[in-house]
Amino acid sequence: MKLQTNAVNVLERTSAYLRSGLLRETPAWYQVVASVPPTTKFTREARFINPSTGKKTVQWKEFDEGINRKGFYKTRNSSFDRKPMDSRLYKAPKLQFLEDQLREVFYQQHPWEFSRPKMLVENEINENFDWSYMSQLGKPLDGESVVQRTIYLLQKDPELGIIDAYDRTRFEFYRLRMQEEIEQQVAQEEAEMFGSVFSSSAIDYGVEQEQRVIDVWKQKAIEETELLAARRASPAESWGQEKQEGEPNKSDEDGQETEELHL
Amino acid sequence: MIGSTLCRRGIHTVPKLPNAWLLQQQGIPNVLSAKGFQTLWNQHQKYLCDKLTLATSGTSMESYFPFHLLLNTAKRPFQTHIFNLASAAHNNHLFVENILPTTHAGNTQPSRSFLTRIEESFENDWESVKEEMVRRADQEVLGQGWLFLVENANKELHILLTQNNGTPYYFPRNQLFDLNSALTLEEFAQLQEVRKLVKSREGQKVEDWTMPLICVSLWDQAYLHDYGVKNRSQYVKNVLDNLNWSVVNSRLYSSAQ
Amino acid sequence: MFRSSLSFLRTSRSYITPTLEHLNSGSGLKGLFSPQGLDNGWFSRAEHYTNKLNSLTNGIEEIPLEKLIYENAKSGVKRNIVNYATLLYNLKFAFSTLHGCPKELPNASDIDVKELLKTPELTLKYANEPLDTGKEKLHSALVSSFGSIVEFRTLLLNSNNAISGDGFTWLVARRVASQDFDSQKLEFDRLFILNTYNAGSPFNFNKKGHMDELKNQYEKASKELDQEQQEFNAPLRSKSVEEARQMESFKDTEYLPLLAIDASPKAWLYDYGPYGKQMYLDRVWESIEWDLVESRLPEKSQSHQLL
Repeated sequence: MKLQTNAVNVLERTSAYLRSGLLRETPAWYQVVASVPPTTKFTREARFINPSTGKKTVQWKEFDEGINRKGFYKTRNSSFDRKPMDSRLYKAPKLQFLEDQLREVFYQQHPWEFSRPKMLVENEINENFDWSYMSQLGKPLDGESVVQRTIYLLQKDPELGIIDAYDRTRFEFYRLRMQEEIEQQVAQEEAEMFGSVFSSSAIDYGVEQEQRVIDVWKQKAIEETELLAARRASPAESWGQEKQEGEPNKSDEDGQETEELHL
Repeated sequence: MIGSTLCRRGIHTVPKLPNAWLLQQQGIPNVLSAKGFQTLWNQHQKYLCDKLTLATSGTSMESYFPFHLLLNTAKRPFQTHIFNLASAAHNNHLFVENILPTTHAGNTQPSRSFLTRIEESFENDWESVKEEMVRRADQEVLGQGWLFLVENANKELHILLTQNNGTPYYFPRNQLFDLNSALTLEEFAQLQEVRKLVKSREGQKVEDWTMPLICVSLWDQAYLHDYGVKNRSQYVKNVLDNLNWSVVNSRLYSSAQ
Repeated sequence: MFRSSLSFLRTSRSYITPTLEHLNSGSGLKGLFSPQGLDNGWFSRAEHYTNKLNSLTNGIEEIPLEKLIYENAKSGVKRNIVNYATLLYNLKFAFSTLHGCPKELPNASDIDVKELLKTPELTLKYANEPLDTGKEKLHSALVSSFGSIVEFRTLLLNSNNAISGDGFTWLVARRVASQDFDSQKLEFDRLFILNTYNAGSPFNFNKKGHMDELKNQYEKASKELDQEQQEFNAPLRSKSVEEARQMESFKDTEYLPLLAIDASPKAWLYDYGPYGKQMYLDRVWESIEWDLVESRLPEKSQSHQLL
């Protein structure tokens, strides 16, 4: 199959159109694509080294030094030997980072950290944080802070060991979170003590909703007890299939309930 | 005025003042010494900005100005810590703006429309209103707070005293009362009215179009260095005597705008 | 003649600025306050509050502060008097336990944003813990109430650090309502940490029922205004959160203060600068005289309450 290169040449073609006057206005994407042009290389290249770990992607089998069963020396790999390695050579290598492992452990141990909203739209990223301290200006305190600081501690002192480094940052993280939490609670209490008025809180809302149900139930209960009281007042009247013998007891109970309701 | 607080990449920085270098050397004549000004602005305002950055970065509010932050968080009790910082940073900026010395020689004067508005609202002249402001600040704010002269939606002027980091822009968060000590019945009634109003407006916006004209910081960070514990009233008086009227006059609503 | 006797009367019956033996004006408090800082935090303030109190009472009242606070706690009119009396009481209480620590004072201008971002220490053992000076009774009371000294310290200092304006953080003991008739016996069952703001008092008697009374008065007044708007007081109405809080938070429990920490910038601004509150608190911890705190601690009640 012939390689389709039309899409890749979009920049050249648009430039030509612009030059010839076919296009009047420069498209919005023009500058962006010009600064990061699409690749024109279509041949797949074998990757011998995984860039994230620096290890070899494939390992050739060592030949047996000795003579095989048929009495020959093996001088090259058979097609059977080559097969699994060929496919791995051209696959994108699996990137493995220590950070990922730390992240996984952290979020597994602290699943509620997921409940904190995370910004997906980034303003402008500054990755050059100094991780010699935990809280950073311009970065929220979260699992990522723990991961980055663990890495920093490891780099500073390789003797520390990954478990110890992780534990240390984890406890620093806890202490900061405690501080944060108390700060929020105290700020709220303080504001209320100085006459701030908030609209109803979640608990208030819950109480109100509950009250609404209770009100409806109460109305129903009153109606029903009135009905029963009326029935008791004139037992001669027929009330469908209900038997009259069991009634006095029952209405007594109902009477009690009515009284309770009006407490 | 509000937008000049720089805010890039979710990092709040201290707004740039004209003649900042001179201010650091000389302070504000008749009001604050150089050291006092540095405490108030270079350190305290920076502290507020840094804390605000820590509290908001990585949230949906990270690129808001303090003014928008305070309006946004005013109704959410669980974000009071952000509100406090935003309100403090904003008020402090307002305060420093209206005591900046004027660049040209000679003091500026209150505009005629300001003076007439004072007459209309208080039925008194500016000098006695000033005294009233000093007196009420001394009496009503026991700890930290702010003293404002505000203009409400009806274009009437009022003296407003907020406790701690209360804001003049949204009345349920004015923080007018100190519930730590006993309240009088009138104050309680006022508080109860606000509560009712907020409750009845459930889901709707509570509107408040109050704008501050004069802002005086009653925080220790502003006066403690120069005036000591006992002389806060003297400090308030000095501030009110040395206002930058070109700023205050421009804050007043005029139909010509 | 008349004039002089009047002035004599005035001075004799007015409040006198409180003093503390271990604090001398002109010298600071080692490791915690410079002379000027101590003046801002204690001497000037005590004097200021006393003057205010005297000018408000016109120098004609002489009753002890506690009684003054107790009697006028619910009076909105006498609020200012109570406020200054409470402030004086709180301030004296807070400074009575501060005895300095063997450290050098920091330079206020060196404390900057780094202090704010500082990573907390992970130590589980701090200097000047109650047990270091052999306060076993206090130590065991703290441990049984808060879990450990580290937890107690963290909660105490964090609570104070979070106060944005003026206020005090208190360590209080909850008094057990005694079943016996000789209720003079002081016993506590648990320690708590609480914050008061501005001139709030750790003695909750001054709040008990205050809001309810105001509310009743307010409702009475508003009912007189419009008779039609009658409150439908349904028997099955559950309390609103606000009501519940008012009911529950000022119940008949009494708290005995053991320790107070001042959060006002007046205390720390001069020596530590705007960024230095945390550092101030760390040093306050090291300056606490646990002797005094323990002496205030009543007996622990023997009840087998599950905590």
